[in-house]
Amino acid sequence: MSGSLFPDVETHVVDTNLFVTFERHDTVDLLERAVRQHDVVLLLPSRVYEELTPDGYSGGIPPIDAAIDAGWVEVLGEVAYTNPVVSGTMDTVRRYIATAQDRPEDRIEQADGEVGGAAAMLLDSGRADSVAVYTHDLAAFRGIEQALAEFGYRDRVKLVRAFDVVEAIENRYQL
Amino acid sequence: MACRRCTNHAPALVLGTPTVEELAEGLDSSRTTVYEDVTQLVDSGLPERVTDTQPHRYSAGPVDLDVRTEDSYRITPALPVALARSETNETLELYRDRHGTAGLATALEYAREFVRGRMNARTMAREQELPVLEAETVLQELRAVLLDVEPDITEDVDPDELDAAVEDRFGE
Repeated sequence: MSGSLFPDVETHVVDTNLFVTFERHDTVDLLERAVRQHDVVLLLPSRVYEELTPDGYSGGIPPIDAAIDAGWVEVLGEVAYTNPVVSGTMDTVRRYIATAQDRPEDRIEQADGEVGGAAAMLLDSGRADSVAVYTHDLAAFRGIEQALAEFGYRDRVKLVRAFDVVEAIENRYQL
Repeated sequence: MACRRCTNHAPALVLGTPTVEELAEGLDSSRTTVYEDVTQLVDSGLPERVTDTQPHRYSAGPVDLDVRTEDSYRITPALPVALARSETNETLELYRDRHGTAGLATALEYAREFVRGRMNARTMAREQELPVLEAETVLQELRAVLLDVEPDITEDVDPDELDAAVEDRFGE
C-alpha cells in the first residue's frame, strides 16, 4: 500500500479484527495518528463495538472506548434488517462464510455479516457515496463485494485487507 | 510437554537441527545443563540425534499424530512452539490457563483454517463458547506461530472458486 494509507472514499467501516491487531501490537496510538493525519473517521458497526467490549472486559477501559471519546472512531446505529439491500448483503455474506468454512448455513448467523450490512446501509441510505471496508475475513470480503455489485454499488465499495493496512501504518509511523 | 526442558528447547528442536552449544545460546542454563536436558529428551524418544559425528545435531520434527481425547486434535510441530511461547506471551498464557493444553491444540486447528482464510473468530467463538474478542486475539497470536513454523500455509481462498462454490451450493 503506497501513497495514502486509506483509499479515497467517503466513509471507512472497520471489522473487529482490524482493531484487535492494533491492540495486540500495542499500536493503537499509531492508528490514531494515521487516522487523524488523513482526516478520516473510522465507523464501527454496533456488533463490532459489542465484540470489542465484552462483558467482563478485564483490561481497564477498552481502547475502543478511548478512541470513541477522542472522536476518531464512531459507532454506527443498528443495521436496518428490513432494508432489502442490507439484509440481502448480509445473507450473501453468510453464504460465502458458510461455504468457505464448510459449515451448515444455519451455523453462521446473519449478524455475522453486519460489517457488509453496515456498508450497504451507508450506501443505500445515501449517507455515503463510497465506502471502504477493512477486514481480513476473505470470505466475508468476497461476499460483500459480490452482493454490493449485484445491488449496483460495484464501483462504490473498496475492500481493504486488514493485515495490509496494519503493516502499512506500523511501517509508516513506528520509530 | 510443559516441562522446563521442553519449553526451553522445543521451538529450536522443532524448527531446526541445533547443536547443544546453539541451544545454550540465549539461555541462562549452562551448556552442561542443556546437554543433560537434551540427553533426557532423547531418552524419552523426542528429539533424535541426526548426526554421526560431533558436534551432534538434534531434531524433534516433524511430528504429526492424532491424539484422541474427548475432542480430537492433531499434534503438529506448531503445538510445542505455541506451548513454549505461552510462557512469555500473555495472550497464549491466559488462553492455556483457561482452556488447557487441549484447548490450545484445538485453537491451533482453528488458527490453521484461519490462516487459510477459511475460519473467523465469530464461528470459533460460537463453536468453542468464547467471547469473539478472545477468539480473535488467540487466532491472531496463533497465526503468528503458524507463519513461523509452517511457512507453507497460505490463504487458499480463490475468489472465483469461492463464487462458483457458493453458486453450486445456493444457486437457484
